[in-house]
Amino acid sequence: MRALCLIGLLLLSALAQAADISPVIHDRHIGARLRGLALPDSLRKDLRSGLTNRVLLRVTLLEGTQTLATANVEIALKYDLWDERFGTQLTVNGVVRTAPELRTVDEAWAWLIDLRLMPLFERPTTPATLTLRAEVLLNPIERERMEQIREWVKENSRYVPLEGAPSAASESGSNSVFNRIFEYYAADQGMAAQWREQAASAPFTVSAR
Amino acid sequence: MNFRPRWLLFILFLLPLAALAQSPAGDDALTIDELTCRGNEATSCDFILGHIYLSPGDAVDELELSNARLRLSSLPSFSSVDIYLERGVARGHVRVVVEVVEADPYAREWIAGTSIRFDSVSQLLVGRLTNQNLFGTGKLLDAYAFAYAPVAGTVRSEYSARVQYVDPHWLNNKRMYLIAGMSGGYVDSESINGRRAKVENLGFDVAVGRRLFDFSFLTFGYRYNSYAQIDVTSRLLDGSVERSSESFDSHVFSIAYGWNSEDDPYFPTRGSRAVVHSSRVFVEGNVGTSTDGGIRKTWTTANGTSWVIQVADAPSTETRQFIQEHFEFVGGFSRPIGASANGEIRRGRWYVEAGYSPQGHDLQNRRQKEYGAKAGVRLQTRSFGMVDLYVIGSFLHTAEGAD
Repeated sequence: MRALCLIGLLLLSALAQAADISPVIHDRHIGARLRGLALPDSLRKDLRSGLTNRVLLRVTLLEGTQTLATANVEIALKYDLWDERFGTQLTVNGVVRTAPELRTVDEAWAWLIDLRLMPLFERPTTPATLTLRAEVLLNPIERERMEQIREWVKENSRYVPLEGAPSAASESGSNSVFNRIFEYYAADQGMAAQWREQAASAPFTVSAR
Repeated sequence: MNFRPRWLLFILFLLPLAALAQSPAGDDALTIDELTCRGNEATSCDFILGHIYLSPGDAVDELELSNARLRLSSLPSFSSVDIYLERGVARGHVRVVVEVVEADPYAREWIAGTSIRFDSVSQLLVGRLTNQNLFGTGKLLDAYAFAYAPVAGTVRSEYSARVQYVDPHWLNNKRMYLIAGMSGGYVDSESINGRRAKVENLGFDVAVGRRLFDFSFLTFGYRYNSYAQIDVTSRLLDGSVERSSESFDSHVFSIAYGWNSEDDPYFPTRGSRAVVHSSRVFVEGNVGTSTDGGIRKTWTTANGTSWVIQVADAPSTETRQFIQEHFEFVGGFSRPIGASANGEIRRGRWYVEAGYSPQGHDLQNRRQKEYGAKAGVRLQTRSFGMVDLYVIGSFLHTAEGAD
């Protein structure tokens, strides 16, 4: 019984940590609210780095298993060392949208773990039961760049006993980040990233426009 | 058009990448005042900054900094790497800071094997210690000791040790490498035709080489054997015993060509490795030539089983000898072992190999062949480094009738 309770608690905590996407329906459009992204702790430091951090989201609207539409959302955050605020850029399918003013890392973090993306899709012309699915990538690396890095690693780490391998024997945090990126790359995913997460909504019904 | 989902994903993600090139804070280029390191105690800052292809006065190139972080992260020298900017002397000027946490520079490797070959039982033990970041420069100091001790049956023993310094980027050239080493050993081996040889040797060597194309390498080497002692005892068919003994020094010039396209040095899943090595030995006015080598090919089937075939010697890489007890012709497979829950085992493989070695002719001039198998487990552990445990066994088949 205690074991069952423990499993239940673990499941609940896992559920509590999982990202959640829900629809936001307004007028003729459908948007999405993405909450609870388990962003890596290292991002807090990266956000203060003065360099650009990028989050890519691919949000898909489905009816059953059929894809109705897809929205590509890109968020770029760069901390200005002199003005001490974030320069934030939000684009949906390449079109720039209004992004909030963010001054601190906590504000940026709070925004990222409760993203409201509105609007993303046109509402269907007929009543339908739909779902939303999102895939999120942090600081993605395109395949061509990954090829260049792989070439460099191949040339520069052949001797090391723990070399060249995605997983080194004394695998460190640094290596594990690299390895994770490499795993996505090796899995032929088209694009690798330091971190990725997926979320899907419960089915929801929309009436006709 | 029939796109597979991953290609669709790729194409869709490409769209916003064009926008990614733009900075969210506008187009104000930041100028680098200086590049500096933090957290490095054993590693020189020059070595770290050598991985960043930017200099003071350059504009900040975020893509290059991101690539540099990945390059540094791939090195075993560091357990974490961060790159960030700090305000510089004036607005628009920055200091690029590379903050690292250094990893344990020592890599350890152990091999323990029980060998039950057709005529003897022996125990093999190898220990290897490598400093992968000597003086914080990324050079290597590698030492190993090897013992193959007889337990029962025919005497077949070998003890050796080697220390070598390796500069994987000699003269700061990414394709050049240099190896300087010292090694010595003692071998006492009795063959199945009754010949017993004892060899003692101590020598120094130096080699330089160049990586060619994608996977190949070419090495030129010289070794001075300052001391070599060979004692040979042969039992003849009539029961008499013949003895010879000689002591000399020698000069050996060698050339080796090889390639290595395997995706992992310890747990390869695909690729091949090969080397052919030719030596010319000068001993007191006499000249001899020898050639050896080996090739290994690995591939993995859809169920995750990796298959290997190997012929002749276990092929080394350009700067590293691999120690492996094996047959002349080997075929086998391996299966992955997952990481343990407590983190002690990071990854591993168990493997089974079958092999065959020609063993020449016995005193009656009958051809002899050794058939055998090897089974083992190779683990990457937190406490001991790389560990390889195995058992190898074989039997001898003697063809009836003389050749």
